[in-house]
Amino acid sequence: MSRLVIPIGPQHPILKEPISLKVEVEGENITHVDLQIGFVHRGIEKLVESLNWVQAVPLIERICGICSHVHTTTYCQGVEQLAGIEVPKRALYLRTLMCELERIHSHLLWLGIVGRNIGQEAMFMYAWRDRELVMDVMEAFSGGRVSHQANTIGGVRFDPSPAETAAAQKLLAELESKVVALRNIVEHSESFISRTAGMGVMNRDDIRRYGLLGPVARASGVDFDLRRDRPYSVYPELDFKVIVRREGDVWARAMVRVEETMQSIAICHHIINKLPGGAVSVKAPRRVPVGEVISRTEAPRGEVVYYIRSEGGEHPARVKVRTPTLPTLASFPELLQGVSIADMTVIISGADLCIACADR
Amino acid sequence: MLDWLLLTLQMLFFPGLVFQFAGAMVFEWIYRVSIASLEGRIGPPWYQPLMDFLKLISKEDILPKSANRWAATLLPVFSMACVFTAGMYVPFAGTVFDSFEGDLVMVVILLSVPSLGYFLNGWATGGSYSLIGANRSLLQYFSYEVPFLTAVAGPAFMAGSWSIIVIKDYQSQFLSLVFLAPLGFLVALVALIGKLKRNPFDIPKAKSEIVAGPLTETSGESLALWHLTLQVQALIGIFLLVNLFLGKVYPGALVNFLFFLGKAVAVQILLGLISVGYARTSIANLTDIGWKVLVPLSLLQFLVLVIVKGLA
Amino acid sequence: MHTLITHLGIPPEAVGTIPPGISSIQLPAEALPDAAQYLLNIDQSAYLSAIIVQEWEMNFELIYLFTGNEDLCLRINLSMETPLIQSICRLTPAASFYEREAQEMFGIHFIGLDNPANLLLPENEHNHPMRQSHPEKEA
Repeated sequence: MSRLVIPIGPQHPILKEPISLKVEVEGENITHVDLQIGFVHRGIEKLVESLNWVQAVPLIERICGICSHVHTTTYCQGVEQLAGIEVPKRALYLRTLMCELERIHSHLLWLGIVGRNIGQEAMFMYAWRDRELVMDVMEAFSGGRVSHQANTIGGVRFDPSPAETAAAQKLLAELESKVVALRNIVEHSESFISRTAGMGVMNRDDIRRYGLLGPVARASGVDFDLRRDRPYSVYPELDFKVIVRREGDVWARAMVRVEETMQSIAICHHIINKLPGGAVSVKAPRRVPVGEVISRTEAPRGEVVYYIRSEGGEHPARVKVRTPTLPTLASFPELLQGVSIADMTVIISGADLCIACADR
Repeated sequence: MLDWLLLTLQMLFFPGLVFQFAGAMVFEWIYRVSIASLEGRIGPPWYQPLMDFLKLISKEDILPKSANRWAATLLPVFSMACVFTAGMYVPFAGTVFDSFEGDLVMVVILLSVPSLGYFLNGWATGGSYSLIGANRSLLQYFSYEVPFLTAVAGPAFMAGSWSIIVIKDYQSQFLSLVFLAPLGFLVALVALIGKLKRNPFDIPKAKSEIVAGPLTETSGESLALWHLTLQVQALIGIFLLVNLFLGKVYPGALVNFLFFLGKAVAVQILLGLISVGYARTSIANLTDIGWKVLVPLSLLQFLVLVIVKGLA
Repeated sequence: MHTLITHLGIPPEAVGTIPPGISSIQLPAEALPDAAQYLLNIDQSAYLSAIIVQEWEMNFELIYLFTGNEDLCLRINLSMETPLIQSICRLTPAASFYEREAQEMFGIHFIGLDNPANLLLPENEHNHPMRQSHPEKEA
């Protein structure tokens, strides 16, 4: 059969954000993939240099619509380290709580999208319905469902009362039972397994060559989680399990993500129970001393790296953002070689792309 | 003179255009609502399918330059005509416009014409999604058509006739054939999903893969007619299955009418249930399901029916 | 890390740390492929995490961040006039996207880059917008 180039993107039903894959197919099988990104490049790294340290926070929050809090956390953490600010314990706990809530929300969002892309609309509806619960919790805390504006240099900008945390725990308990139901679908549904098992298999070597991170790496047997292996914030004081699977396919990635969601819910309960009292922020200086720092956190999709350099002024001299989606995208041309169009959609959605993060 | 008038009225109203159109709309709504309630949604109001149709038909028909405008305009009209004609020969609650020996074969063939039109539409309108969708729809056609034919041959064999109304009357004497041929009913149901291109067999128009398959470049009136064709096809397919497998007639016109309607709605909801419960199959899987599962099952069912008839 | 230092014969003043405690080694540009190869070979879990580029007054600096059993930064200075360096995308394909980004944003030339096309910027944009000399806003 003759060769045909089908355009996947910049606008396509499987993509939530614009990338362009020019897929060359022979019959149903892919022979070549031409990847193009940068459709939502906003030049944030450059723009940050013209803002002062605090003004940069809301801008950095807008790097991503799904993991916005993780970006500000990484940035604030780095700047606090540079400036030598002692952040109150309560602020760190609340910041971490928000990170975990965001992880739950991101993983559930992903699960829904995969369900929709494999043609199981019901899964999409259930996952997104349940996601509303965690969105409600985040909204009750910070006032924002997507952009929380929760972080500031020197602490956080929200201070929940005991009544609010109790209400959040109730919602989280409700969510937990629903995530258990979702996990049962992922683990046992014949139909889901048949569409995801054995798709896009990556072994440890592939993971390492491309520098893949987060749940994708952990689904291929890489036992690495920054929260445990490069502890930051209050993670050393929390106990949680790092979920690792060996299969390396889309199904394993789904399993890792639902299990991580369960872990995150447990962490949230843990944090709320241990939440210390006190102030939620300290005053940050206008100027940050000369220096450089590499700040890293575990985002829902893997490791986020910020390199921040100060020249002693009111503005950052350089902020470099490395997001986990970039290496994932780099692996696509090889990963999609020879698979069918039907499997391609599963593999693309299974990677959990966040294009806004990658383009910045 | 009166004959002609009656014939025109029948074609226009019952069991012709208006009746089938209204039925298709109502059944489409039932399908959407049943899916919605299973997915935890509310679902659209009852007039939504009609509104969708009216909106689409009032829109401009835009085609790419490379498309064959004649073919793209005529194909939906032709396909629609075929399913409406098929609808004339499928009895509704015991009443039928006309019947003759062999109308079952005609109905089955007329119901499969839109699949061909669907395939040709993909080629006529151009575009890479359409081409892949067209290829897929043809491949899918070969997977479900044979099991469908074998499955509906069972009741015809039992009744000793290729006329739907005779098969239906045959069941009124004994019991509905679904009890004797449950496998055949199941195979026909699954094949019908393939025919209607509904999830899990919506491979030719898989949204997340090839956008809308052969209908990607179709718009406006043509798209409205295509949707109507598929909706009427669903209605007639369901009526056909009810007649062939659940055909027991109950005494009393009203009771019979309600029972018939109830059975048809139940089949539609069953289709919705299957659609919600499964993820989309891949095209390779579909060929496997068609030829390695459905065909052997329908043949086995036929064998059982032959033995039963031999014993009786 | 110590084996790398002895392997390459690095003077002690080239070794430093970047907070929070990531060791860094200052390297000449020619030594990069060898160092990267050595690093990836001795540590089976090491991978290239990021390539950070920044502009100082007189030169460009590239920081290659490797994550593994022990995190390590390789720091390389390149001259403003001829920012030339060997690409390491043959050693680890992860480098390809980072290098392409560095190339279009700062105009650093990587020798042997697998796909020299722009990654984030439009196809025919060759202005290197991250350079200090590039205006933030058009007048």
